[in-house]
Amino acid sequence: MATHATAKTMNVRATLYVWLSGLTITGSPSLVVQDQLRDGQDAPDLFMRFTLEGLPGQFQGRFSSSLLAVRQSMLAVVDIFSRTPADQASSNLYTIDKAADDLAYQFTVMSTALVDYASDSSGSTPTDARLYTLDVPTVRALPPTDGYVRRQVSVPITWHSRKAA
Amino acid sequence: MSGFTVQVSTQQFRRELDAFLRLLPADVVRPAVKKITFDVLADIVRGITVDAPTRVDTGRYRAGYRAAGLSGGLQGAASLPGSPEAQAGDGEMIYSGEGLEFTSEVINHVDYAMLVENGTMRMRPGNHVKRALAAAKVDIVAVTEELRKGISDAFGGQ
Repeated sequence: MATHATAKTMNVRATLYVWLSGLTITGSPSLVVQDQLRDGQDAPDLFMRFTLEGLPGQFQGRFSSSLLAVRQSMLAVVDIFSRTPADQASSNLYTIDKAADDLAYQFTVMSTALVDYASDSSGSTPTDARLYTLDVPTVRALPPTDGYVRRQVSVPITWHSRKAA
Repeated sequence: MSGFTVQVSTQQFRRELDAFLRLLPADVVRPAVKKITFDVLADIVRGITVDAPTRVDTGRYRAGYRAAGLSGGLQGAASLPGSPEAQAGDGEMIYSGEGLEFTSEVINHVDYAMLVENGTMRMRPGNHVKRALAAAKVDIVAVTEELRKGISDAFGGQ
């Protein structure tokens, strides 16, 4: 039996990327994924980088007569970078905090359908498969690097994957 | 500097442990915290090496977690990889509190530890500490569920 769409982490990654891209966040930060790096020349003034790290799964029992259910989670980490030129208007200094708060709130209330991009690039939706959060996101202020101030929002994303019984 | 703090403090776990601890020796939490701390340390080292590999030039950052484990007298810490570049004071562990408040704090003093964990514009974050702590929480929740089921079964499913 082929790997079920809910068991492909690529689908989780892509679904979250599309979800993040569609959010309304203060300052409209651009989004880069984990292996897209920026250097000081071409980096926008405000951007966020999204990484996902795997966590252990737990068998939950049967999903159906032919499928088992596994509760899985991945740690989503979004690093927000905001350039801080010396003449930055003071009101803009709070943009990154507002962006972090917006993002944390969106993660707190998140429940979105898992989309199968692996077998269909336009995306199809497996039945009864949602990505959601069970924890309140952690928001941290990191020390500035490369002339950018930084905030970090992290939270485990949970879903139930299925595998052949 | 980078590090983490481990405390057996989830509300569910605490409620159910409270009942046990009234009957058990006061230092029962101490080995549990130390075991969780070592598991997290080992998971961080595995993450640096395997799960989300970070370029290892000297191994000093990774060895900082070994040094912290040794500083805290953790059984098994000596089995974690060291480095010829390791320096005295690269890792530290601080214990505080008693009973349910017993806490271990792990600190990696290597000066670029924060950059490896959280990345820069030019380098993706390792997220090794954050991932290991989140994984430990998943394990603790699973143990809590087993504990709750065990208690429930012991009292006839009440």
